[in-house]
Amino acid sequence: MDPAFAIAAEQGVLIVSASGENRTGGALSDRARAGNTAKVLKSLDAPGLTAVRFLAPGLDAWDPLLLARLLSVAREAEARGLSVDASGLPHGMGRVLDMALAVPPQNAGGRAEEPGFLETVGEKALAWPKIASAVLDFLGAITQSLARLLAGRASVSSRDVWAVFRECGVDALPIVTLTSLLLGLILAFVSSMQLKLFGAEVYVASLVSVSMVRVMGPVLTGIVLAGRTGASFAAVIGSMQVNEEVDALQSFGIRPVDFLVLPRVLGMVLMTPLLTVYADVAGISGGFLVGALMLDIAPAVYIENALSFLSLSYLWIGLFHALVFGFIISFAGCYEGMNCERNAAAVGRAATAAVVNSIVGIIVATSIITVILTEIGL
Amino acid sequence: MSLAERRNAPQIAPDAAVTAAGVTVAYGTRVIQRGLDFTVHKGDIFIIMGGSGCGKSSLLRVLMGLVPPAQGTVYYGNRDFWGGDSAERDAVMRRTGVMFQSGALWSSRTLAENVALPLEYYTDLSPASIRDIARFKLAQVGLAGFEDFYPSEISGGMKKRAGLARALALDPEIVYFDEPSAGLDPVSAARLDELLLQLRDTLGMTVIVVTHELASIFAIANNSVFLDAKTKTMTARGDPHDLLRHGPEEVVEFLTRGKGRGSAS
Repeated sequence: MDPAFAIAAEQGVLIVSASGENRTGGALSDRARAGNTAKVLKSLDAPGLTAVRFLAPGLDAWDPLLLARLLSVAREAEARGLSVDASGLPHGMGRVLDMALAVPPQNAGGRAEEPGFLETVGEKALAWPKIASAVLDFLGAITQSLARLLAGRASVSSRDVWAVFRECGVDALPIVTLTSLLLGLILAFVSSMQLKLFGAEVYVASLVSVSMVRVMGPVLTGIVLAGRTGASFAAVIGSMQVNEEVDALQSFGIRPVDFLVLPRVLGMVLMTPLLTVYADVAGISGGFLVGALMLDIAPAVYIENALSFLSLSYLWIGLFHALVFGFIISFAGCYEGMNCERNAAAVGRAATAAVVNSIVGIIVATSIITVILTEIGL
Repeated sequence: MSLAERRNAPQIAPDAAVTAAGVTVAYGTRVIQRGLDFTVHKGDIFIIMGGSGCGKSSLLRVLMGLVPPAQGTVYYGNRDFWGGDSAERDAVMRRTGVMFQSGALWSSRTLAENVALPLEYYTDLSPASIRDIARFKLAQVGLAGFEDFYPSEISGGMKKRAGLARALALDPEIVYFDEPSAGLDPVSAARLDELLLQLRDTLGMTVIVVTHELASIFAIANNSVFLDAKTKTMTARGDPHDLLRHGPEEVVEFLTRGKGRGSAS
């Protein structure tokens, strides 16, 4: 088996000849070619060399790997101050090699090495204060924008607010109906199994109505809106970032927060409580279906029981939840969208992060509100 | 003169529209261009030229107010743009128009609504008047009849022209163009050049263009700055016709290579 390169030194000139074996699918294995190239590179260090000449006798075709090897030899030779003579190569091959040699490798900074485990943990930890301050900045920007609106120095286009109303109101009705109705059914079924043991099935009605109105209705509405509307906020604003549309707004001196974020936050904060009331009604109806049709509770008794335990303060508590959730969802969606990087994958990440952060936020906020309300005895 | 002195005591010409004073453009921590000083006079068609990747578009983003410079500042007239507060910056940006490289039209709005949006935001005009202005601006760039099309329904060249119509919506004093003729056929590119000249001559606008289209440069420019990617600073400024005769070697090379090509077409 011939080596990939034959090496000979004549009067200070290192002659490197590539043989016909240097072809994709040729007789030489990659390993043999690499080993042989290493040998060529080593022989560049021989004393007394002034030049390197490439020859390719009998070579009728070549592959990129051969060129890559020759390039590395030529670069090493130039680094050692040797002149490189590629005229012995077939015409096309020499020209391709010259093109590659014409521009020396740029020190463009390159990519940092993959960080190790500890480094990753450290970086994540150090990123927290930055994220926290970015979130606070965004909160501040929304507050300022609201202040400008109230002072009459900013205009939120009513058309945008209406579009948000539609998107997180009317358009969400079917899915909210379905999920709330089913949640009411499930609550009624599960609770009836336990209450049956005490012969207290009639209390299914109050259990469903109280739990829906106080917490389940708002949480379910919040989760549906996070998946539907929060994700779409992030994706829409994110793709506007990618497409320079946000820059275009700014170029007119229109603040993106005034124009893109505030209408969405306002629309959502106003709409979520309304949708929640609707979800409450749907959930209670679900419970009613189970009670009236399967547990044989008289409709009038069911309704009487459902309403008698329902105090107005539960409704206020539920609506307060909804208000907070509306803010969390719109905030997370807009924040992720506005901070979206300028590529397609980032838009997907922004939408995902918006949904995940909204849902986590909803659960955390519910726990906090529940603990506080329990402490103050509501 | 040191950088600090230059910032404290900028030499601003009385007819200056935009003045860059010691501007350094950086992308993160990587400096792309440093120490840029030049003046764009009122009524100029000013070209920011240079090879690919030399920082032309990044400089444009600093000038038009989207990204703050790493160092130095920009003056609009004799007012320090980056030294002022954000409300002042908004006020300046209201009087500038930008045509983005890809058009950057608001994709959820029709062409007429795109042109109308800044008018709705800033004026008390009736919807009917705004609609008429939008129609007129679109007609001005040759898009009459396309008012109710969405950006996704028109070609790349039409998007650029619609972007121009939108940039002109508020009758700006200064218009920025990012690669206006990139992606256009030679005839459309030449028409766009004519349109730029007309706008300058009839409306007295100052036009700042990022381009490396040499045919355009010689057809419209009367002032320019040349950014060099290797030295990361400007190596020449002035009328490109003069630079062609007396400019530094790399600028002449840049201008002549294209000229041969341009005259051949």
